[in-house]
Amino acid sequence: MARIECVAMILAGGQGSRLGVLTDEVAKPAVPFGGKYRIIDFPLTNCSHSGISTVGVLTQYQPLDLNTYIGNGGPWDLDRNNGGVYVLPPYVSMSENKWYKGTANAIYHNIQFIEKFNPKYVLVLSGDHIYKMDYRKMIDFHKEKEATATIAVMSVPWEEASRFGIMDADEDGKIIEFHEKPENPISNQASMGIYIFDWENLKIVLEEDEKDENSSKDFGKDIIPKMLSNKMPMYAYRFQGYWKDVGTVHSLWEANMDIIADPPLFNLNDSNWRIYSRNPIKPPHYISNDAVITNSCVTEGCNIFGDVDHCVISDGVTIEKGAKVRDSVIFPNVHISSDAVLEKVVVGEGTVIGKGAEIGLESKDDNPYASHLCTNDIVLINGNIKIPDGAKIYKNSMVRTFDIGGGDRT
Amino acid sequence: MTNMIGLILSESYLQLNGLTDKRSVEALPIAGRYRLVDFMLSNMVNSGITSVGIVTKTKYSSLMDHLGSGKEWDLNRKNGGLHIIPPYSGRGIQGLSEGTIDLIASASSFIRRSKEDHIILSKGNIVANIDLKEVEKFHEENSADITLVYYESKEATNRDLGDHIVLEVDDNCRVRGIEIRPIRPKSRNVFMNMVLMGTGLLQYSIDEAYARGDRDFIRDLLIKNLSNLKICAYKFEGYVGFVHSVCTYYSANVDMLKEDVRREIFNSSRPIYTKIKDQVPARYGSEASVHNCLIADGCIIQGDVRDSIIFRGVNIGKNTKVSNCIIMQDSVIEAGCELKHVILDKEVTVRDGGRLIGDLTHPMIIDKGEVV
Repeated sequence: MARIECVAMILAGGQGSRLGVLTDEVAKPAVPFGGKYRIIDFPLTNCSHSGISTVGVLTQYQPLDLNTYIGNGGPWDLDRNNGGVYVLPPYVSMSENKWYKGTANAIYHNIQFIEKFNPKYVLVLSGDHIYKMDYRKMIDFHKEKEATATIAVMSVPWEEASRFGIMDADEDGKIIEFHEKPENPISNQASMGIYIFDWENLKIVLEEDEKDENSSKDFGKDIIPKMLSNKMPMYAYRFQGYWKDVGTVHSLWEANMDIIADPPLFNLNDSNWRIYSRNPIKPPHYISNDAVITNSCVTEGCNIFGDVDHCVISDGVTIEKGAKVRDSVIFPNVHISSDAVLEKVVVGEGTVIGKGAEIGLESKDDNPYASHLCTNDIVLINGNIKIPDGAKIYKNSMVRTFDIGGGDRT
Repeated sequence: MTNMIGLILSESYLQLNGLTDKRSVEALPIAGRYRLVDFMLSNMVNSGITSVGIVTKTKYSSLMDHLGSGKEWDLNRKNGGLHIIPPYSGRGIQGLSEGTIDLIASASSFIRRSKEDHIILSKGNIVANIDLKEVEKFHEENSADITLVYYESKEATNRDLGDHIVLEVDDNCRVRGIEIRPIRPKSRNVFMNMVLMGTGLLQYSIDEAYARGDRDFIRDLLIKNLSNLKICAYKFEGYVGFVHSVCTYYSANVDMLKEDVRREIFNSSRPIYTKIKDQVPARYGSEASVHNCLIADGCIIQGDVRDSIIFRGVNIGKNTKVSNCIIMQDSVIEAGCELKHVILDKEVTVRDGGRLIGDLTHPMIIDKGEVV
């Protein structure tokens, strides 16, 4: 097989438990985003536009939806004769059960896969970040610095720095110190979970780390510190632009709101960097005579008869006459019946909201659906359920199923 | 499984003013994100047909660009798949082929290679969602030699029917008469330019007709054989939008604003496929006011839009009023404009304060790429 310069490995096995009911049945990278995308579309599109056509997607938790979504990679132009996209689930071998124990362990178990392409570099990406990035520029930087590893970093607000892997680098970008989620951060340069490694060196470190019984087999916690202590030249590549980890209900909601801000904080309408996705086969959306629609984005297959303001509406959604939906994110094929009122709600795929239901309008102290996962007044409604006519759901709720309940109790 | 192949014949006589200057009628953009040919092509694919030929005649680069490898219709196959058959001159014919028989003859190697027993011949200028498996079933149950598909146009005037081919059908579904563009039609049964017949019979008939110098499929092949062959007629009960003039093009578009038509044409069990453009969802601004419109992805709507079809990637500025219009892909209407009964072809720009008013019976057409 022809040698491939760079192979990308996307870590898509995370459970994403902080997204609550959204990831009950799908892996986080398969969660819908921005009306017609899924989170995994962003790294896949970035690879495609960056000319990286050999991509491994490491899945583990609830991989079915993700597998069928990726398929042969055609929508991302990754159906190639040489390379293309491969879904790489864990497997059982003669000697052991190769369940992925950590991010580094996941790559370790796929050494054979990577070796087949004999790459010079391996790009390790995360399957749950929203951003547009040309990896070619980062690879050029990596070559120019003759680095063993390059880590993409960005400035984050100081008060949030302790949530990230924090890097201290010299003027040239050479990393001096690295701390995973430090209590007292020494800089505000946070790792974006995007790494380029020289494959030869990474392989050695991975094999060593595998033997280390005290290691948690994680890139941030084990591999990067090990490489640093081995005095391997590592550089921080500064990224400027929009990047968001959509790991919580609030950040997922916020990132959706960012694309409908005026002007958008994150612009998807970029003809030089179109976000690819598996498109639904649906007609243009219809806006009826009675509808009022402002500050929102709407996509194919929708039928809007009600009032919509400041919402992200995914494909195949119907909003009946008299319904009012504000500041909400509506996933595909949701049906919102007449006179229902929704405010700051994330509604999962295929759910039916009954007539006159009131969701997210009022607060209540002993709210039966209250959940620590739903903050900032956001309500999260599970997919494929029915909210009965006239139901009332308070702010900061998570509804797994109506009647039986939700919130932190389930 | 079906036992059919499909052959779509390019319609070369139709002229829709500027709209068909640079493209054939099959490549006309329609219903916000489709080309006319998508409907017939999707009908074939949804009926289990995996081998489709499209015989082109003139101005076909737009059509070829749209179809590509046939991937979006699932027709990029090892066996069968999509075959675009460019015009052909041969067997002593000077220049481009003339009639329908010539068009079919140019596809003879495609037809000969197929192993299926039946072939569906159709034109590409019709909007309908039809299950061709039902037509095949009808054909077999009636042991027909040839089956013609028609619909009953109850509201059509004699003048409307004068644009069509009208069938006289008896109680046993046998075709008893065929009238081409009749002045006083004997029925309201409009032929949908869809024919199902045996692949072998077609090949034989075309070879015969060719040898005799016949040119026209309807006149020379169907009408002459009304008594020799068992020619039956299958009645289609759904919505039919024929596109053969600017007016019918306009009405086939705005028909999509009717909920029942939309539900039938875009029913999810038989979807209509088209080329994917990876556009973002449409965005509505704070001053947007939209009523009774079909709007495609990639649009940015900031003005007042009513009773219109808006294609992918259209930009409508603030304080602009658009009503009863068809605005094709990537057109830009800047701020403070007024447009009524206008068809904007692709990539048109209407500058600030522009005013374009057409008439329902004569929509104003602005050609592709113009700046107004």
